[in-house]
Amino acid sequence: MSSDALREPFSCLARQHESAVFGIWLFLGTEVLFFGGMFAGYSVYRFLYPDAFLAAGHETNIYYGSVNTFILLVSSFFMAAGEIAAREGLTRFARICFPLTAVLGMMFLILKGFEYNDDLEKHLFPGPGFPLPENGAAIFWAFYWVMTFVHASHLTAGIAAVIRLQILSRNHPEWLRDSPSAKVTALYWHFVDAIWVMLFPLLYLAGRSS
Amino acid sequence: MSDEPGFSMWRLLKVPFLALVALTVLLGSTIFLSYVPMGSMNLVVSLLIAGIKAGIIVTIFMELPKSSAVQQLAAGVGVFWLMFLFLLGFADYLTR
Repeated sequence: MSSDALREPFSCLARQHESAVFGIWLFLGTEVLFFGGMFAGYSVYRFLYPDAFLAAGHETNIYYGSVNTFILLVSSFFMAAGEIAAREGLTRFARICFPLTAVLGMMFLILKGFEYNDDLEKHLFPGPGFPLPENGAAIFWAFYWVMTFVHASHLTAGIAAVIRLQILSRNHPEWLRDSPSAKVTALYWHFVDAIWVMLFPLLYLAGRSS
Repeated sequence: MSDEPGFSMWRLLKVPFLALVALTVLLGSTIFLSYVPMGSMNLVVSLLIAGIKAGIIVTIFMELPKSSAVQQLAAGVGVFWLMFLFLLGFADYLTR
């Protein structure tokens, strides 16, 4: 085992790994509550303005939303594959999976940018000129903008973390195998994917059958 | 372990790949079902499918069942407190 991956104050890699993974799960617990506040707010307002939320949800672009969901699911597969390969010491394969993961994440953000542009062209931003007459529709769109932007910010951080793995493992293949970084990054990436999986039905599928 | 070509990647990646297939099928199903008029059940069905998808991500991609007890506890804490957020929040709104 290489000592390159071992950091203070840990005496062995196993303990460092256990602590790092415990730490990221604790962090993700706080993230559950961070996003949970927004989900709870959305739920309360959907309860208060059910018809307006269905009418407003019908205006989101399901094509962008569906394709982006698929992109994130595939990115999670490559992240999982990269992390398993890193753990098994298959550094070359891991270093193919990580860039694919990052590129898929960037594709998500680019499509999101096109989607935001379409939304803005339709004036679907709460404030003057907002086109939907239903009382409460603007609240749905406020949640749409805040929740998707916060998610995209998290994804951006995830892309940076994946690129970090690629850079740090460039000349140190053993680091990728021994360090908990791949596991921690993968857990964060999958969490961001899971958040989107929960956002998708609330923002994109609402009101489709009406 | 080796980095040689021809190493059986399928053995390692079979479960995550099948998870991806399941997630894709569930994505297609939830989109299709969202266009079927079911009234208030549309929301229930879409959230149920989203819950199953999130469950697959947490169990297979994040490997939570294989994690140590203290890691599983840390993962459960967020969901535990989230439950209180929803229970207490809706205990107010649903009983007004």
